[in-house]
Amino acid sequence: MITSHQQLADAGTIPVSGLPPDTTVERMPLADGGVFEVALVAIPAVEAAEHDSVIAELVGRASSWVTAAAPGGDSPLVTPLYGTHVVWSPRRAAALGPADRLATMRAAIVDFTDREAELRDIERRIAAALEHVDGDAPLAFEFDEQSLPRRREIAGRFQDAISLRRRLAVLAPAVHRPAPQPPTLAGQLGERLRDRTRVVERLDHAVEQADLLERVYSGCGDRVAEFVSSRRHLTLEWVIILLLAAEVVLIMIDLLANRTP
Amino acid sequence: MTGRRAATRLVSIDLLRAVAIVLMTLVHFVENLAGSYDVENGPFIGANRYWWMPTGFAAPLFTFLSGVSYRLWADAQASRGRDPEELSKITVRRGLFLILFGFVFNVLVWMPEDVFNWDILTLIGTAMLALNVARRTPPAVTVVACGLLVGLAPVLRAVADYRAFWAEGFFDYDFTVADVVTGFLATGYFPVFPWLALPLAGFLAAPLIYGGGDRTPRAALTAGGLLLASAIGVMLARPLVPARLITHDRLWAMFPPTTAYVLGTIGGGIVLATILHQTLDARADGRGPLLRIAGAMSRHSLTLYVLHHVAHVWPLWIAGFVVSGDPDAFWQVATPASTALAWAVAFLFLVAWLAERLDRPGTPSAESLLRWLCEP
Repeated sequence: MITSHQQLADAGTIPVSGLPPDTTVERMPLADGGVFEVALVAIPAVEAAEHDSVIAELVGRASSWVTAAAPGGDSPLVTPLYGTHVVWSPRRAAALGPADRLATMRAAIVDFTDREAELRDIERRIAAALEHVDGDAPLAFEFDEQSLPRRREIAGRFQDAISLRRRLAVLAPAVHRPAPQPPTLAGQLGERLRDRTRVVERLDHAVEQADLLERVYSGCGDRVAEFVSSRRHLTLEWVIILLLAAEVVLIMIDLLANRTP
Repeated sequence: MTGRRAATRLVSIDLLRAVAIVLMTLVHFVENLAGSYDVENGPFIGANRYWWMPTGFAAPLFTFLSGVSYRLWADAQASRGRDPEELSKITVRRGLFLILFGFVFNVLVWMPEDVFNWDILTLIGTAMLALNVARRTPPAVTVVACGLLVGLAPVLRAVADYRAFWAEGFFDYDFTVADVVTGFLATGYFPVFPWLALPLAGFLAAPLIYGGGDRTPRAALTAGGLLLASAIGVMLARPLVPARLITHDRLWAMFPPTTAYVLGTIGGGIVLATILHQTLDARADGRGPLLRIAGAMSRHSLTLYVLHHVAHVWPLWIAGFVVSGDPDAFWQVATPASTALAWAVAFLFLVAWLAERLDRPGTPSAESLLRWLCEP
């Protein structure tokens, strides 16, 4: 899992269609290999009567920009909080607020997106692994000679299952970390995003599924080990039988030759 | 002999088996019709006195391929989910059929007193029974078995006094249990020690040769190369072998099958099969007329084995009996080698014409009899 602030790159002022010219867009790589862009939009100072309409228009443009990253995907989350707005999707986010709060908002967004991307990647890998469970489950009960060519494949899936479980074990404390007290903008923003994306429930489901994978492939591993061990014993027994048979043949030929005049 | 349809057969195996049939026909015609022609001190096994004859290659190639074919067939049946018990039944039935067929063949084609000469049919039938066991045991067991078969053969021949059974230049035994059992194990034409090693080696080598992927050809070629090198090493180490274990003056001989001969023919078979598989079987342009004939010959190898003997041995017995009252009268002295060779070539043209006709539904053949009796 990447840490929040180490991978920021290409920072700078990039013109964003429809947003104020001083909007800053920053990029960071995600756990699934994609790129996350966060736009920092300073809300301009306007008359009080125009404030709501200006905000609404900025949010609308930010939503369009965020949506453009994943056409046909889910609508972005719009989270108003203490005079700031965050428009968030897994690939892009826009933070709209006073200039002095943008850094805090960026840190919270990046921190949350980092963890959400990790969880999303884990979910995707678990979904792919679950497709094989029905086919592999019989091997958790009995492993035979015909299944031997699949040994490496099963071992790979066992390693993947353990790796997923490890990643979840590392992710869980960060997800379940309580918000700071007294409440801060960053803490509240993180909690709001966490609730809206149901990260906690998704994490619990992912843990259950990873546990299932671990049980199945641990069982497969046990059966493989038992089979390989019994095969070695069988081989040794057969070799002993062959040697005894060879001895019998030798003795028999010798006896028959001595009987023949 | 495995009864697979033409569409699923490997061209390389059919070609090798057809080559074995051709070599066998040439050698047997020359050996049985002209082996001792115009010369004293016969009979001569394998037409060895003719240096240009390709003696000693057909039988090991054929027995090696029997193991290869069995492995490919068994793996294909297993992959289709066929019950292992059913595979065992089919295999055991085929083995017993071939053993019985071998006895009947010996009586009808050779002489009744040759019923227990332990020829190649009884060997392949025995091999079927052994392959059924090999199919259900780890490969290492089969490797050890092959080692024991090859390693113990010279010892058993020495203990059994092999030369005494071959004093006349052919396998000559008394109708006693001792001689019959000894012939089966060590001194017959194709005794278990060491000939059973060839089909078992084919069974082991088949996944290396035909398993697919980039690495298996290298493994097969390495195995074949090592066996060939071992054969050369055995020949070079001949001066170190105790005299009691030496039952033949030649380093490379089929009767008895010297250790170098067995190792060399197995290694050569693996290398040849691998090369042909890599060059022929990948081609998708279908079979030309020559390969079609080879496929037909391969599919009816058992029938052709019987027919080629009938074609040249029965006339020998009949002519000998008619002329002098002794069926053996013309054995190995009937014609010059050139004439025998010409007759062999003529017979092969007949085989080429006959083989594809044997494919026609309803045509009786040894293979159709085997399938009718042995398959569910």
